[in-house]
Amino acid sequence: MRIGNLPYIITYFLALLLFFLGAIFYRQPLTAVLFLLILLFPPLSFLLCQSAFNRLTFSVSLPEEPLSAGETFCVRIKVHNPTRLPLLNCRLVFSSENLYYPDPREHEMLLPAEAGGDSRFRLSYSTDAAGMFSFRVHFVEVTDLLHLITFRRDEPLLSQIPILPADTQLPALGLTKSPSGAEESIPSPEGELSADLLQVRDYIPGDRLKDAHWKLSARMDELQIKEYERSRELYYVLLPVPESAMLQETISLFYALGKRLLAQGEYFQIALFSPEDHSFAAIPVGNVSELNTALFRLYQLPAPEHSGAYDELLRQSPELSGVIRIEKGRVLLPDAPEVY
Amino acid sequence: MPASLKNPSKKEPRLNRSERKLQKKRQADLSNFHVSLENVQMEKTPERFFLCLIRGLLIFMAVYGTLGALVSSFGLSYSLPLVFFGLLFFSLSSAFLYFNRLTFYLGYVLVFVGFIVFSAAGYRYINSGFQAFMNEVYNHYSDFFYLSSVREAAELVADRYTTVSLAMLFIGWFFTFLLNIAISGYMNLLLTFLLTFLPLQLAFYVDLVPPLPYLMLLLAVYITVAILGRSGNYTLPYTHKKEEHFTTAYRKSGLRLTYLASSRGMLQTALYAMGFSVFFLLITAGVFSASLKSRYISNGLKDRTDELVKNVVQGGFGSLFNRYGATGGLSAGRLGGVGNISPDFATDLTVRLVPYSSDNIYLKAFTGVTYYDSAFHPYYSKQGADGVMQKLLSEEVIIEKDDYFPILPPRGSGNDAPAGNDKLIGNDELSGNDAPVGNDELPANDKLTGNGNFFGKMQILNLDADTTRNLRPYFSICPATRNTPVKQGISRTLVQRSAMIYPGILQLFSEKLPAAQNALESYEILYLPYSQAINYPDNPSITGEYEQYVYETYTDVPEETLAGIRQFLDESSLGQNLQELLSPGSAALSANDLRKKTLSCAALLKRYFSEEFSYTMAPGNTPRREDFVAYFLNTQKRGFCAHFAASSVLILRSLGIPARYVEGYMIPLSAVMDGTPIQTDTRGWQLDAPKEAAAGVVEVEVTDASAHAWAEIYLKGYGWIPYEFTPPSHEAYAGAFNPLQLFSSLLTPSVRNNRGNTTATDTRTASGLSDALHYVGTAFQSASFLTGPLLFILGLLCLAFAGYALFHIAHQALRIHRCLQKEDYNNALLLQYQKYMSILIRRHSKELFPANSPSLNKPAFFRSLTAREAKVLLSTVTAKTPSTVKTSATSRPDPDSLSAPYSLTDPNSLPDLNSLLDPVNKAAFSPEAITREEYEGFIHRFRLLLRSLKTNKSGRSHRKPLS
Repeated sequence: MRIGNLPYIITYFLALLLFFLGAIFYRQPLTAVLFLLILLFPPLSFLLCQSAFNRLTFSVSLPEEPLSAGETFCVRIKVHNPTRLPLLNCRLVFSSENLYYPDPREHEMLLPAEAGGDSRFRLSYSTDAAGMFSFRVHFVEVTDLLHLITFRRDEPLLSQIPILPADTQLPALGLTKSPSGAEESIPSPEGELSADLLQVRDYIPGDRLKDAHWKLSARMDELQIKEYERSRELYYVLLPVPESAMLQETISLFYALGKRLLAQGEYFQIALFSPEDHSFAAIPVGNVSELNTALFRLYQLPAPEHSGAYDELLRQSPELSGVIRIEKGRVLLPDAPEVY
Repeated sequence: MPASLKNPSKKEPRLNRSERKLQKKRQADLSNFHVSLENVQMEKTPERFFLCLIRGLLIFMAVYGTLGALVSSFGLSYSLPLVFFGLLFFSLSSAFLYFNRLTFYLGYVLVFVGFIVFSAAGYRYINSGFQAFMNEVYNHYSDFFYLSSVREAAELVADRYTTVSLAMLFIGWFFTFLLNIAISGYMNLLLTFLLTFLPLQLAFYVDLVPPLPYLMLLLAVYITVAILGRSGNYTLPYTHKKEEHFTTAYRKSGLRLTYLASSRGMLQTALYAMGFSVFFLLITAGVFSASLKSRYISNGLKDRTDELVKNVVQGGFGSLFNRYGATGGLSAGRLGGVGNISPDFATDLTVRLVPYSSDNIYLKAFTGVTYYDSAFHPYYSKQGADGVMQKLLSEEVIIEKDDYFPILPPRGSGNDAPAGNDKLIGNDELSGNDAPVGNDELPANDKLTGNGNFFGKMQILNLDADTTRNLRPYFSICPATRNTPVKQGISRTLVQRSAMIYPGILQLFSEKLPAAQNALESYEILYLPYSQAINYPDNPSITGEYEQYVYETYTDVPEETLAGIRQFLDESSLGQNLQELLSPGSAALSANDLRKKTLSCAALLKRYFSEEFSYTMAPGNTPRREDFVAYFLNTQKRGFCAHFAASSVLILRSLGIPARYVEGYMIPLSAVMDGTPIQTDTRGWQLDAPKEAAAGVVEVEVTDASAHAWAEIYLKGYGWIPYEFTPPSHEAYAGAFNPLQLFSSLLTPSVRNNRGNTTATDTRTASGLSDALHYVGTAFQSASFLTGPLLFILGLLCLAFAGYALFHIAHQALRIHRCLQKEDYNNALLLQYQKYMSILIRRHSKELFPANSPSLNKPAFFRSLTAREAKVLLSTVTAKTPSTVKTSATSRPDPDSLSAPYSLTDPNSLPDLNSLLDPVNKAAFSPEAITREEYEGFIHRFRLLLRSLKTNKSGRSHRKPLS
């Protein structure tokens, strides 16, 4: 029973009293039967609603594709009521927030569960910041038809969806690591990318055709594939340092930089620092999907006021070079203290 | 840059205040939390048309249910197609007024115009139909209360079938407006209930049960509105935009989103409510038909309301209100304006006297001489040729001429004992006054042994009584008229002696006060203690001239009243009896015979009133156009003292017997007995009284409940004698309003007699624990009539549950049987498994589900398993494949948490469980079909398992291997 049921309970008892007095006043079978009907309503309502409540199911779904900040998106809630009794007083208590900006409020939604099918609802959200959008259902309550008693069940449904930062224009940073001093190196077929040629080998199904060594293939009359080995020192390490100050700018820069590097054909790593246990996770990134994955993992990490990630990285891996810090809305290149 | 399809010149729709407020809140959310909930919608859009349609149907059910129930209850017939479709049309058109803003504003104007046109065009029919209904209501109430006559309204059109139908349409249309607000506007049960159920009280009150179909409609509406009104927000659709499906409220703790309506849910609820009400009322119809009339009992509260209802039925609502204030219902001869006497029991007078008589003491204040315009006037007037009343004798002259009373015999002569009809004013129990007790309880009366009359002194303190007239007892000395003592048969010697001893008293007293002079607040008066008997000697002071004056003045009856009296006498047995009594003609009779006949007539009249009329303190007002006496005699037949006194005076006058109307106070003996003794020494309180008569002086508080009216009859040669025509009443004064008393009177049963009156079966008042217990017992006894219906309904419910269980078992067996017939052993096995699992869970719920397992109605959960769900469950139990169950999207508990406490999966609890469940697994997941042998083997093993578990639980055997 909830406090909210109290007025209804009082009202019910007043109605019961009224009908009782009416029955005694008139001393008539009909009024007596109506009084008994009022008396029998609550147990009937309890039994039916409890039975239906036990079979009631909820599900929450979010858009499958990542969203961008500023977009409007929908959270879909489906209530499945397989019974024949419509439950018109379902109360869903949920919270929705961007994990970077916690919202302590718990919202409630009163919705109907129509009998014998699904009832679907669409919650339209708008957001203006990158981060992990989280939709958490805390519990579900169903109040009986007379509002006298409420059945409650914890419904630990959690759905999350990342929100990508908005596009940010980056200036030319000159981040191409050109292999000018290396022998045996050849220009990358992708243009800017340079790497060491490891070997030329026979074609294996699944190899990219753009890696084919056409001249040699023509000569040998058999398709030959060039295989490269990247130099270790040519890899960049992006270190995003999400702190509460300038958080959105930092994330936007990090994501834009990642995309820029990918566009340039750079193969890089992202170091994610966990302020809680001072550990680093290195995520190699070769395409947008991997970049997104890294970003989503970043969203899961807290954004303290002061991270100290770079110092910790230097302490744990002093020999590491090519670390690009994205911190406080700035990109700090390895060679120059501040480029952008 | 993609081209924008938006017209830049088109302005954004203007937001209203609440929308702007919401937008601000959303923006605040966005800036604070960078996430904002913009909108909530249902994917199945609630159809506005559909919502209005259902609302319209609900309104129709309510209106048609109410009107149909009322009209049918009172036995009127109507055109079913016309009323049905007419009301349906009105209901739907009312409901669709809320479809959108246009229909709302335009529709209301059209409907209003249509309503006016309809009412103007069909006024005659509508009015006649309504009057026909009211006449039927009056008739039923008249039968219920055994009223001899009720109001009857004129029907302009005689064709009741048509007029009632049109009146139903008209009233129904009006009701649809009101119910549209209650249902469409607010989905409010209380309003709906008040609008529809209250009118039905007209029928309930007189034990009429409306026909079942109408009750079904009403009950369905109540249930639907009760459920929908407390769900969502089924309010006015037009106030919300079409795309708005939820209302949003911002609170500190978070958002509150409430859905506006669910079309399908609304329809489902209405259908279920209809089905339920039909089912419920059908199965309880047996209770309605049970005749409880024979053991019908009423209660105190209803009895109280009976009087009001009777008044309304007879005199309309106007009869409930007093037209002018009155003390104890009396108002200086003005009659018919006091419909309800509600004494406040405040003390009007304080009277000090030495009690000498066991009779009630009458204090006379007002004497009514001429009756016209429903009032007795203290002067004599007669209607002139022009029809205007002309005053012939003033009040002062009347007082001068009057007051010839019988000569009292000497005290102790034996002539003062009341005897039968000779009693002047009977000892009958009067309204609000207890019956006199035996004479032996009177302190002084029986000890009188003196030989002559004597004066007693009475002190009267007027606290709250009428201030225009002084009160005086009979046989008192009134010095304002010189001959008073002689007229009253008081000897001059006695008066002269009194004047010497009490000189102050005789100078002050006057019955009629001069203008602008108030009554004396406190005064003393000498009176002759008398006993109410008439066998006195003639009064020699009465002259022929006086008797001529009396017969001229006190036999006048206005024409209108006379017609009413003649109608009454013609229609009642009283008229015939009086005619027989007076048949020889009074002229030929001697004075003595005339006196006897006069008294016989009075006695006859008194007896008739006692038998055929009833005393009530709330008879209702006399309608303004009606004559008070004629209305009382022919229609009302209920009243208080003023009714009986005035009517009897005029009836006697119509028979040629001089009589007059008197008002004042009657001090009952009980009040004297309860008086406060103030002194034992009676010196100075009596004159020439024997010492034995001095029993002390008492102070009596006379309340407004003692205000009274009675008649005085003139006996030829005797003088005026007071006569009590008011019949005894068992009606108790209600006293001040007391809610507890109301409730207790509700629980106190009473019995209705064949005159429509009720008497309480228990009149005890709770004064101690035993009485309180008695009250409780009475209350239970009072509510015992509920036992029958309660047992009936409970029995039906038990039958319904038993029937459901049997159906469930039979249904399951049938399904298995069908599967076996089709040789579908897979499904048959799964069904058997489901059945056994259900038994298992029921028996071993505690072992299978520890206390910390998810909150779930486990037996219900397993009983409700379908074959498909059983497969899923099996997969969690046997194969432990939680991936098959979407835990995040289901209310089922986590499969691991379900499987973990299963003792079935514990190899130590029972042997060879896997082999037992293998066929189930095979039946559920394997494409291979189950053979009959496997099926039978499974059944055999599971039965053994159940048996084994049972024996394990009961402790008879620790472990029993399965064969």
